[in-house]
Amino acid sequence: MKISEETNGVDSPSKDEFAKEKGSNAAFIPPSIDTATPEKSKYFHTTIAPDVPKDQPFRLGVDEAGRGPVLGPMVYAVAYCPVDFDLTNFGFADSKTLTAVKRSQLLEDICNKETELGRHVGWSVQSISAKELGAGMLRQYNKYNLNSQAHDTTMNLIQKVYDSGIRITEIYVDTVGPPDTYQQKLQARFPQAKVKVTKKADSLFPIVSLASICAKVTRDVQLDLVRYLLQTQDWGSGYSSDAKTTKWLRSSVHPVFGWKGDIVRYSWQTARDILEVASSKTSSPSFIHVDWHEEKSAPLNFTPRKPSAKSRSWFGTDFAF
Amino acid sequence: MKKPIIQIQNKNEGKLEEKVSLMPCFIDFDGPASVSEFFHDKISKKDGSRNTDLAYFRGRELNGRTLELPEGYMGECVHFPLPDRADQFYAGNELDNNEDEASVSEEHCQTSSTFSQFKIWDRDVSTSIEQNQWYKGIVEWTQFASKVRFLGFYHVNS
Repeated sequence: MKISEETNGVDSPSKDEFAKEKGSNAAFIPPSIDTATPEKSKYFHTTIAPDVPKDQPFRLGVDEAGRGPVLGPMVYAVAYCPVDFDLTNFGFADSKTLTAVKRSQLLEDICNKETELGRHVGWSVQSISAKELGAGMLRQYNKYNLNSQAHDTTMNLIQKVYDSGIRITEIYVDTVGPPDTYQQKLQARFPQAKVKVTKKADSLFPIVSLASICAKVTRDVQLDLVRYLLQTQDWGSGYSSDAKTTKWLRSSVHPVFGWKGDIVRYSWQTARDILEVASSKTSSPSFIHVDWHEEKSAPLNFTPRKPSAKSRSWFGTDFAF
Repeated sequence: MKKPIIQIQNKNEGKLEEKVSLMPCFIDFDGPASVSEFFHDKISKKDGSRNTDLAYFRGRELNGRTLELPEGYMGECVHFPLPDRADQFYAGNELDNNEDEASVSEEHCQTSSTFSQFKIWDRDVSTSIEQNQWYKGIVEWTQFASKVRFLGFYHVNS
């Protein structure tokens, strides 16, 4: 498959080209990815094999990937299997020690509906794009915060599994914040199941480890595909603590518009420091100021500039209409 | 500082500019930029609305409406070229005999293209476009102005 030579677009890559680019045989592209527009938000679901009865007790695990980084989507995943199905021998128990390659292989196994694992496991992901995350947090009114988004997304994912006829009786959720209030909230929302919210749930419950793999692989491949389509340099892990990432941010920023590819979370402080704050330490040399005329809602650690004479005249405080 | 008289020279009559946007922010920059690539080519329609456009600038969501200029009005994209030698001559000429007359400075600009409609953009607010001050200026005031006849007033000192 040829890459289009027109300047205004690249066709979605073939798996072979993408694999060559990655330089490994870990070129599995999960079905949760839209290869043409990998940077966009997306919902994907798959279910158990048709001959596996739905009307039996199921357990479901919830985990997420990509909450902290400045690049790429935040992905929430649920995975479920019959309570009777034994997950212990597939290598899910110790998800923290899994390499990216191993995770990719495991997801490939899960997607293979010929295997016992693939037949008995269903999973869904909701990927929330960097664009959506940033825009939600940068709204002038009704700012959407990450926790609300996390809880809403999780409840939607679980509800859709119920709606498909699966009788979930146990729900296990990995959490970053305090578990108790969230557990009460979820338990009230899903009284038919026993809900357990805990930190490090992915190492305690294999079904959560499974969900963690679905989320992580989806996010990793989304990021890799976007980088491939942008034909840009390696941006590291995507975390602001990663020197490679901040170097990429600083070197590829356009002083007026920001970054190509809809992959940067503009609400993240690292991105704002580079694009919006005129400081010799962090911003680019060709820094351009944009005044949104919103002194009231400036974030706490951001010192508002006095509006310049130019911007005052633009916004009309100098004339009556 | 901008001078009080601006002369517009219409060099490219007929060249129509299709993509003009009025932004809800002040951008402290004048010059060329890849506006199509980063902005105009990425405009989409807002969910469930025929008239409202959706775009993003520096990560912030913007909602836009297309505004047609009223009949009889035309928009012009102008740019200010570097001062030519004639201006420099006038500015530095101290032997000008007309110094005691009030000399009004002029600035020249050139039209690069014209437009008959543009997009007005706002942040994610739910107020209607009719509240927008630019909309009011262009639609309501021009309608009002066309109805008003101006009289001259003579003030007589007693």
